Amino acid sequence: MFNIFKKNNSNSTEPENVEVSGNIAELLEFIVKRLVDYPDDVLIKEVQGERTKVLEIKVNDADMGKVIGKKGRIIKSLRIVVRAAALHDGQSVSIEIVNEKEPE
Amino acid sequence: MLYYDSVARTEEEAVNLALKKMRLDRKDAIVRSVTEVPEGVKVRVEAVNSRGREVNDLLEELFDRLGVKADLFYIESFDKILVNVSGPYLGLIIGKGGSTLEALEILVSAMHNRGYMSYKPVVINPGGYRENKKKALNSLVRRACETAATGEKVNLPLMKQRDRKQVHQIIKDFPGFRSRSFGDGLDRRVCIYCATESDNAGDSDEEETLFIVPDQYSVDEDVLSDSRLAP
Repeated sequence: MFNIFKKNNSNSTEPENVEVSGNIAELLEFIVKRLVDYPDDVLIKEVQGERTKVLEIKVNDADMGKVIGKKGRIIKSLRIVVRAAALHDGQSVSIEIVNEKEPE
Repeated sequence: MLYYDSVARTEEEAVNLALKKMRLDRKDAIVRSVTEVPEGVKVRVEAVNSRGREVNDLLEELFDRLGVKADLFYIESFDKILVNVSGPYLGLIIGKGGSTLEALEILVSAMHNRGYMSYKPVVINPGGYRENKKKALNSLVRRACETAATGEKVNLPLMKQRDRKQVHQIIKDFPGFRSRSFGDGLDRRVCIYCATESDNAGDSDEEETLFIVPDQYSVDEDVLSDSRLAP
């Protein structure tokens, strides 16, 4: 039993093949730009909060639906993936879409 | 190389049929051969711009940015693109209960299918995760059936739609047992019970309504035979 405990412990320490990724904002930009029709209009802004970093996405109004998806499917997945990557870095981030126009 | 043989009356129809089957656009395929057959024209359509290659490149870059080093191997079929991922540390892309994996699939499918007329889902299989999941579900169902044999109804834990569907398929290997899904939205779970019990309320993922159909069929057949006799 002691052996199992030891093994688990060594697994949970920093795995060598995973490098801390450069920038979470860049990852987000990479994904969002491939989702929309107007990639040049994509703007990602980092706002440092007290504990969490807020990533604000601004896209062309016509692309709002593309980023959100049916019943928020895409934005939900975006949050999960980016949060997983950020958590790995020891950061905590949240994502928001900041277009002025409200989707109908 | 991905190709499809189709037969139709005209060459155009046959090509369109093949493209539809392969879920490809015209620009991504070439017609390799055209032969006359008694039924019409037989064509062989081959995919040139591999969508699997595209997904592979996309995932490679994404994993690079996520900080995951992994080897990819893609298999493109008519209805999906399967990417096998192998590497020493894949927990990051699977996540708790496969949540990150599911999100990744949704995102990569959306990123890849933009600009294509036909939708082709991307399925990611990191380190044999899918096979392991199937094994785990299999043993879960077997244990549930052992309990259900006593006449008890067994409710399985909350599962995703894909897993529920798999349970309904697995249960077919256990004669005498049935499965049904109960609940709405996220609170939907599978219930396993002995087939002898009466089927109560509750809707199912599976095609149980099909059992009503035979009545209609017999009526149709009567009408058909009448009309045949009439002239």
